[in-house]
Parts: sequence; C-alpha cells; structure tokens
Amino acid sequence: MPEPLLSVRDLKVRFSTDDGVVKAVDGLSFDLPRGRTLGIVGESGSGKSVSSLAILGLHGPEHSEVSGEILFEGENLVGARENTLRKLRGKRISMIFQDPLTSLSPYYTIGEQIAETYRKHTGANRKQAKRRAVEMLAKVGIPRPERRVDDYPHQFSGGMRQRAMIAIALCCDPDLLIADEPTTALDVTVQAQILDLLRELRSEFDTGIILITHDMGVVAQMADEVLVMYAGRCVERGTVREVLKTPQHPYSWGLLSSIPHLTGDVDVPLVPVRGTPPSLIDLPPGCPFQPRCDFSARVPGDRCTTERPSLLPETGHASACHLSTSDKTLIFTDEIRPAAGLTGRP
Amino acid sequence: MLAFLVRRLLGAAVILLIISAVTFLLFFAVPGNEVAALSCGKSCTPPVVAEIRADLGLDHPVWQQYLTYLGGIFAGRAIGDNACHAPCLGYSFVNKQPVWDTVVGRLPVTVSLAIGATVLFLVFGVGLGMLAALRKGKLADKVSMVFALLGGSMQIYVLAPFFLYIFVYSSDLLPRPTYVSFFDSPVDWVKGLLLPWVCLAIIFIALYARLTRSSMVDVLNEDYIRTVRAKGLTTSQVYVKHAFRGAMSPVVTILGLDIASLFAGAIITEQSFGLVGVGQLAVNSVLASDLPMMMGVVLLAATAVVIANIVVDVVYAAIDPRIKVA
Amino acid sequence: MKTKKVLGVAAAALLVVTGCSAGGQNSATGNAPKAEVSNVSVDKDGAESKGPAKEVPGARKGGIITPLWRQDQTHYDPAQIQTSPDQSISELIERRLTMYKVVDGRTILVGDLATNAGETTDGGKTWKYTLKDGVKYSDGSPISAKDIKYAVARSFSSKYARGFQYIQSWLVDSEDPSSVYPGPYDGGELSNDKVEAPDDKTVIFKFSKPRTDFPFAAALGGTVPVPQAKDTKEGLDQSPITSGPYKIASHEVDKSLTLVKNDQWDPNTDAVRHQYVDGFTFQFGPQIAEVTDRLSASAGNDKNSISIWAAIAPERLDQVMNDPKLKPQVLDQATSASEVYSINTQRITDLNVRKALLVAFPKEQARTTKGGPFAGDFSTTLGSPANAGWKKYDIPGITDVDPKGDPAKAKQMLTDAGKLGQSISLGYNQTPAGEKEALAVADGLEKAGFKVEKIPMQAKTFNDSRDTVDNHLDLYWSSWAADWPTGVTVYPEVYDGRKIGDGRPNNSHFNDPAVNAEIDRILTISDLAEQGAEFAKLDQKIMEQVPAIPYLYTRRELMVGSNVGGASVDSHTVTNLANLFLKS
Repeated sequence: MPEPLLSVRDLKVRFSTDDGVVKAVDGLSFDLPRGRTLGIVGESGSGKSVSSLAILGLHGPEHSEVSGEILFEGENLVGARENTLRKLRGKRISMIFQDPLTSLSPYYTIGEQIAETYRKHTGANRKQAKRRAVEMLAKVGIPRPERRVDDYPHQFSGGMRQRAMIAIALCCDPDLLIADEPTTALDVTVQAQILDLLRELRSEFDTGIILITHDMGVVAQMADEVLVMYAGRCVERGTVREVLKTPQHPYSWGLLSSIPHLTGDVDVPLVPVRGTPPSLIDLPPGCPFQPRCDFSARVPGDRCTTERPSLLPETGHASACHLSTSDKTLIFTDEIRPAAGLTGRP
Repeated sequence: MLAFLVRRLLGAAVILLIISAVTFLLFFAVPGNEVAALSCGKSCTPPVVAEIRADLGLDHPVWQQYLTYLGGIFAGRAIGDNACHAPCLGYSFVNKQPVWDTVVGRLPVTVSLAIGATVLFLVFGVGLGMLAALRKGKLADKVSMVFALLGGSMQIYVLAPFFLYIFVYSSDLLPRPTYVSFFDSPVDWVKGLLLPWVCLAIIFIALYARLTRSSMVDVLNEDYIRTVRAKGLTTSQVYVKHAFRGAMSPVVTILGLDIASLFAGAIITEQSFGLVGVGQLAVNSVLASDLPMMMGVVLLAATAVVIANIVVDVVYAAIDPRIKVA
Repeated sequence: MKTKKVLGVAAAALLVVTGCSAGGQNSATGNAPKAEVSNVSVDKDGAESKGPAKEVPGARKGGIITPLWRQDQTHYDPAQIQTSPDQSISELIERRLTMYKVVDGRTILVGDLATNAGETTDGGKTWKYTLKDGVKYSDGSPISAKDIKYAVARSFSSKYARGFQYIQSWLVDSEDPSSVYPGPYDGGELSNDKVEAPDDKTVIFKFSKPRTDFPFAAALGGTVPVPQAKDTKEGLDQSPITSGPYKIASHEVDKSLTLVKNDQWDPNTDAVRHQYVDGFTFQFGPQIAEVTDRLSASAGNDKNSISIWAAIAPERLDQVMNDPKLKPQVLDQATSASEVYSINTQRITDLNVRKALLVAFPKEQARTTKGGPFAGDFSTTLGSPANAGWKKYDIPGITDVDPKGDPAKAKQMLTDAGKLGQSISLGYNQTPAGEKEALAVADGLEKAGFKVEKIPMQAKTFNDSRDTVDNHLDLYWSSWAADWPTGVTVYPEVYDGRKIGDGRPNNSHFNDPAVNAEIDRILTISDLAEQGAEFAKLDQKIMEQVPAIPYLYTRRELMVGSNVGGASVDSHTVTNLANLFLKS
C-alpha cells in the first residue's frame, strides 16, 4: 500500500493554564491517504480544531506541549522548525477557516491576498501573481474575476468570500487542504454550492481534505472516512457508510439522533445528547463519555467508570466503548433507530 | 473625495465662526476683562479712559465690535491711523502690534517644538508599544509598561527643572534651551530644542506605548492574522505588513488631535523652558485681558484642531478600505 | 502712586552699594537691613552736575550684558512711561532736564541736560534752566531748548496724557490739563507765558503758585526733548529719540531689545552715566523662577546677565538669600513704597475701633505669608523713610504696637468701646498669596473679638474695585510710593479729604479739614528741608486718627550674574543700568 499522505500517531496537545493542564487532544491517531477526504466530527471542545491547527503548528506552540507524531509524506512535523513549517503552509498544506469575513484581512484586496501567497511560495512577480489570482477566482466560480480581483473582502457576499478563501488556499496546488467548519457560517443554499465546489476541486487537484465539522450532513456528502472525536480522543472511526449507517458508539448515536432527518417521521421528537462536555483538565479515569451515557449500566461491573476503553479493532470500523459488538448492534437497531425516526436498511 | 473635502472645509468655517463668536462674547461676559483692558495706571482720569476706550474700539456695542472684527479678517480694516491688511486680526491692546504678525512670529517656535516632540514620541512611543506587544508577558513587555506608567505620571513642570539642572546648569552637556531657526543652523536648532522635545515627548511616549501595545495585542488576536500565518508568511511579514496596519487606526486618531494641541502651543513646556511661543502668548494675553490677541490665539488653535480632524479622517479612510469617505 | 504699576522713586540712600560688586546685606532671616532715613539733596549751583561721572572702582570696558525680563516695556515714549522698570531703561537712553545721581549713599538731584537742578528767584514760581554745551541727540544733531518746550507741549495731548501729569496740571492749574490746552496737534503752540524757550539754550517754566518740587518733576519723562520735525507721534513709542550713552539698535517686540553705544554721547556732559559695556541685549520672556535659576547658575552666557526688577521668585527667596555663594550677586534694598491696611473711615467711624484694629493686627503672621523679613520691615508711620524729612515718631499706644498683634488688649479695647464682635469686611486680592495673607489677617483679628468676613476680589480688577468710594469694604491692603522722594506726591494724594473719588488713592476716605489746610500750607514752603520736616509732623498728626494700619516698608531683592560688576540700585530701587560693567 502506498504511504499515506498524512499519518497521525498518538497526537497529544496540552495547554498549561492557571487552572491546570488542559488536555485538548489526548491521543489521536489516523491516516489519510492521498486524494481522500476525512471528516472529523465532534462538538466544541472535542479537540477537532486544535488537532488540525497542530498539524501546521498554528496552535500556539509557545503555550503548549505537543507529543506524538504527525508524518506528512514521511516527514515528522511535531517539533519541526518554524522555517520548515512555514514552507509547507499555504503551499503543500493549506487551511481555510470558519468565518471568511473576519478571516480575511480587510486592508488588502482579494487579489492582493491571493497574490501574496502565490508570490511567497513561487517567487513570481506582480503581474504573474495577479494573473494567477484571476485564474483562481475563475476556478472557484466567481463571476467577472478580472474585475473582482481588485475588490476588498467587505465588498463580497458571504459565499463569495468563502470561495475567495478557497482560492487563496488552493492557489499553490496544495497536497492537503484542511477545512475547519467551512460552511458553518453560511446559509444552506450557499453551503451546498461550496461543498459542490470543494468536490470539483478535489477531483481536479487530487487534494486530500480534512473536513472538520459538527454537521453530520456535511460529512455524509463529502467524506470518505469519518472520525468522531470526544474529549480530545477519537471514539469512533470508519468509512462514512459504516459510521452513519451502523454507528457503534453511544456518542455517535446521540449525534445522529439529534439531527432532524428529511426522510424521517416529522413528528418524532429530537433527542439531544444530555449533559455537557467534560472539563479537559480533570478527566475521569474511565470512559470520558460515561456521565452522559444511557447505556453504561449494560456493561457488567463498573468498567465504564474505572477503565478507559481503547479504540478497537485496530483497523476497519472501530469504536472505543466497553459494550460488546453484538450489544452495540442490537441497541442501535432496536432502540436508537426507531426512536430517531431513521429509516432505511442498515 | 473632493466633495468630502469641500463639505468638511465648509463645516470647519462654520465651526470657526461659532468659536470666534463665543470667545468674543466670553471676553465681555467676564466683568473684569473690559476694565483691565482699559487700565492706564496712575493718571486714569475719566477723559483718558474715554480716549483709550475709543482707541480700542470698546465704545461700540459688542455685536458691532464683533462684526467689525469679522469684516477685518476678510477684507482688512483701518485701525486708528494704520491700515491693517486682510487677514486683519486686529491690534494688540497691550503692545499695539498687529496680532497676525505677533502670532505668526511666534509660530516657528511652537511648530518646531511640535515637530520634534512628535517625531520623538511617534518613534519611541509606537516602537515601545510594538516591542511590548510582540514580547507580551515577557520581561521586555513588563519593563516597557512600567516605564510607560512612570512617564505618564510625570509632570512637565517637574521634569523640566530637573532636566535643566542635570544637563544645563550643573554640567555643560547642553546649551540652555533656546530657539534657533532651522534655516539658520540645523544643528543649533536641534541642540537648542532637544531638552524641551524630550520633556514633552516623555509624557506622550507613555500614552502612545500603551495605546499601541493594546491595539497591537487586539489585532494579533484577530482571525485574519491566523489566516495570514497559515499562508506561510514570516513573523515579520505578519507583524509589519498586516498587524501594524490594523493597529494604527486608533493611534492615528489620537495623533491628529495631539498634533493639533501641540500646534496650539505647549503652554507648560514653553513656560518651563522659557521659550517664546504661541503658548506663552496665550497665557499672557489672557492675563492682560488683551482681547485681539486672545482671539488670534484661540482662532489659531481652533483652526489647528479642525484641520487635524479633517486630515485624520482622510488618513483613516486611506488606512481602512472599509471606511468610506462619503 | 499705586504699587501695582510700580512707580517708585526711592531715595536710594538705603544701603546702596556702589563700587565693585553688590553685596547682599543680610545672610539670615532676622538680620534684614533696616530702612534707613533718606538722604536727598538738590544740586542748586551745579557743582554736582558736571561730567564726567565718578568712575566705578574696578570697572573695565567691553562686553555685552543680557538683562532678563519677563515682559517687554509697555512704552518707550518717555511721555507715556509711568512704571519704574520702564523708567530705568528710559533714563539710560533718554536724557532729560534733571536726573538722580546716587553716590556714596547719597541721592542728589542734578542737572542732566541742564547745568544745574534749576534756578528760581521768586520762591519757586518761575524755574529757569540753561542747557549744557555739547549735548546732542544720537544722530549728532544738537539738542535745543525749543525741543524741550515742544516735548512738554506734546505731553498735554490726550493721546500722550497717559504719563505723569504733574508738570501739565501745575502749568495750567487744572486736574484735567488736556481740556485747557489740548497739545500742539490741536491747539497750536504752547503759550510763552507757560513755558518759554527764548533761545536754544534756555527754557523757563512759569507757574501761578510756588512749585518747590518742580526740579523733581523735571526728572520725569516729560522733559525729554523731542524736535518737532522728528515727532512721529505713536512712532515714538517704538522708536524714541535718544541721547544717552546707548541707543536702540533693534527691537523685536516682546522678544528682544538691543542697545549699542551712542558715539555722539559726550561723557563730559554727563554726571550720572557711564559707558562701560559695549551694549545691552535684553531678553524678554523668562518667568521669574527661570530668571532666578539662570542667574544663580550663571552658566555660559548667563554670567553676563542681570535682572531688572522681578528677580527672585518667592519660593526661592530663602534659599538664595542664605546662600553664601550667591551673596556677591544679590542686592537687597528697601524701596520707597509704604504698605498699609487702609481702614474705610467712612464706615468705621469710631476711633477706638480703629485703634483696636491697629492693636490686633498680626503684622508678623501676615508678613510670613509674603516671605518673611525679606518682604520688608514693619512700619510705624504712614509715609516711607525714603521721603525727605522723614522722622520716626512715637505715639504711645499707636506706634508701639506688638507686630504679632495683641488680641487680649484689643478685645479689652473693643469691649470698653461697647463694640465687641464688630464686623469687618476684609477685601483682598484673590491670588494664592493673597488668600494666605487674608487668612492670617482674619485669624488675628478674630482672636481679638472682631467678626471678619473675607471678601475675595478678582486679581485683575482689585485696584479698581478697591478704589471705588462705595466699595462696601472696611479694611484692605494699599501701597503707595512717592514719584519722587518728598512728601509732595504722598500726603496730598493719599490723605487729602478733598480728593476722595473713584479711582483715587485716598483709600481710607480720610477727610480732616485741619489736615487739608495743613497740606495746602506745606505745599507753599519753598525750602526742601523745612517742607520735609513739616510733612513728617503731618504724618504724625494724621496717624493719631488711625486712618490706616502701617504694615511694611517694602523691600526688593535683585540679582545679577556672577560676571557682572558695578551692580547697584537706582533711584527707583531697580537695577541701575548706568554703572554696570563685566568683570572679565
């Protein structure tokens, strides 16, 4: 099998604060093959953003400790020199962010901001860079790009701005694109357009994508593989089909149940996951989800409170839960699916 | 832009008109002023007082005096036996010289003081603030801010004699502060004004350091700085090209107003160092109830502030494309 | 004369130090020199009027002196000058008929342009002056007596009637001289039966009454000659016509004044002035504290600087006066000003109450707020010792009061008079110093059983408000200095009951017909010494009625730079410019 584009092994990111050490990411591992899309799902505080910022060294290294490995095309980025990381940023690994209005500098035109990246990494002159900017704007579907290249971000609409951000991110043909909640700030129709765009570009540029979101629907449309994060750890991993059709972790069940489904019964009430996310400073010794889990009673003894579940099996569809596989399947089929109004065969 | 400038200039004219009217009225509203302006020492018999009153034009109703004054500004007027060319700001009650000449004659000192101090506090104030922001939480930051606190608590009339003692009286490091025209000798111009510049700048440096620091820290927390970093730019490019520009807006606003007030005369500095500038003129004219001179100084100060405001708005719009100069 | 515009002709026999350098006479508080009695004479025969002026020991020629002064002179036209600092510069560059010579502790009125202080054969009704040979203007043209007549005529014009009015009002016997003769611009030539200049060297003044003091009045600016052809009217206030050892080279209003040597000045015709330094460069602008600091440090060119009038900032007074290093640079002199607290006799009509005020008044506490003994010595008379003929007299119970005030005794006096709790409206100048002084005074009076209401008055208009007849006040500070060292400009102005009016200096509104008659009588005395003695007796007579509380004989402290020699005070108790030289 060819070497994966990105390989993360036991990534841990810790921030020291006045209240204690915050374990934002507590042992994350995954592989991303070239050209594939990985969706990382979780609620706020699950560590999904921090883990991707850590890839580029943008997590605030002065205030934190990182351990583990992040292998990009074989090279370990953990502990790498700033110089090395800078050469990767914007060129081989690009990132786009949630709110395009605040994420773009208001003081320079869109064209200047695209050109800036391009010139930084290719040494092109102004004219060439501007041409590339116009080219990219056309690619991301902005009409009359040769005129709009001289506009400022505040003169673009929300969707256009996000397209412009994508243009900036892709102008140097990166191998990996990290998209942190790219559609959250946009309304639904625009959202669909952006996702379409990403799909097109993915096939054109053969880029690997890490798509961070809390929205299962986005995952369903875009991702090949899914990773569910909770309390800084991965609690379920598998193909999108596996995780969305036959989820095996109580948290995943909760996520799926709390989303309204168009194909489901309209009168079925939404069932949110009860409770609140745990503090990342004082994690309990057992399963971090246990306080919010309705099924921990079905695990014999008190394993759920004393023993941290590992992500098993090692390959394929894995989950970190003490329930037996047959229990998990049964619970989902008999209790969760009907209650959530999910139809369709597993 | 042109429409904007025209509108603002017209607005400025209106403001100046109002300020001049209010100042004029205030002068007469203070009962002591008119009396003091007429003071004539020992031989103050009623005929002499009447003569002086007529000379100074104080025998007409206030509104008439004001209109005459205004008219003189635009068209010139005759005062006594002398012709006073436009813009005629009248003749001083005290030294019988044309106000315009006196004020303009004092301007080079005040302007020199303003220029030097501004350069100093911009370079050191903003520089110090930048340093503190970039080394936030570290020793350099703490030291800078302590210095800023100390500097901002200083008073010029405390610093000035102190500096004078150290640098002028008890050693020969610097000559006594005096104004030498830049066009006569740039070196002496600097040597003569260095102490007042430093003294004046210290207080401002403190203010600008704090302002720049907090502004810079705010900007560095913005999302677009994160994006810029994610594009692979070097730290200095991030700071200089992007963060600095965002941080400058509040600084520019304050800068405009500070320069304006410096042009109106750094009164305490001038008094403390014995520099004969507009500030000293302002104080003396008020103490002596010299109406025309007071008006001249007030109008100068008001003009400086008004123009500074316009310039600040223009610069603001140049810095930040989101702001329309409409 | 009010001291706000200080017009002091102090007979400077008070510890004047001529010679090498000035010496500060006191080095510790409590040792302040006493105001000595004046020693003034008039040079009738011209013996003292001959030039050249006596050499100052140690003097050498050369160099430039830089006087430091807060403000420019208000006037340069001698006909408009009224204040003593302005007079000093004027007396240096503009010669006049008579002038004061201060030598060896004596003040002598000598002839300046004239050969003597004036000749009269009819008891003072006619005064004749002969000009010396060889007196010229700074442009080389000769000075003619006709120019002096023209100058006097000019001073009648209401435009210039802002200076001293003595000569004018005496010539036409009117308090408003311009209404009788409006001056040469509107009224033609001044009549020969007032002032006559029969030839170029003689000028004669004719009065209807004897005017014993005319020689003194002739020293004022009104007799500075002005050739009619060169009369530039207002222009003279910026560019006056000069004749002294120095002339004006340039003048930047409120910034600087440069005086250079006048090569047309002949020292053999001048008994008063010297021409040691090459010139003076006046610097206007420095505040009093800066002047003190610069002269104390005497760094760089400041060692060649001097102060003219306001020299030592009050807050530095103690330090400077007690610094042995600065002693050679300091001049400390009593002036001719006499400070009193006037009692409004129209409101406080009971003599016993006035006496109680006198007994209770806390002079020492009040003086402390002004800087202590340096501010002046406690006075016991109404007039200053600087006036000719002054004598210290004793009135038990009045002149022997305790400077600290005696509240117990005063309280007893009030109770005996049945006026315990008498209310007093104390008017004071609302400045920081004024507040402190008022507090001290009120405090002392209240301890004595008075009920004091302090009335603050705006600084700018204090004089005018106080000098209104209906000022609604009972007690307020006043100061008066003679325009020349006799009582003629004191008692007839301040204690003549016929001269009570708004803006006039009879602040106590004192009106005693017997005193008024005495004033008239004394004014006719033609002998200076006798006149002086009679005024001294009059002072005592007035004092018996306690129209005012004697407070201080004002002192003044002056400073020069470390390299300046010949420093002394002139007849106005400001720095004498005519004897200065640079030591190196």
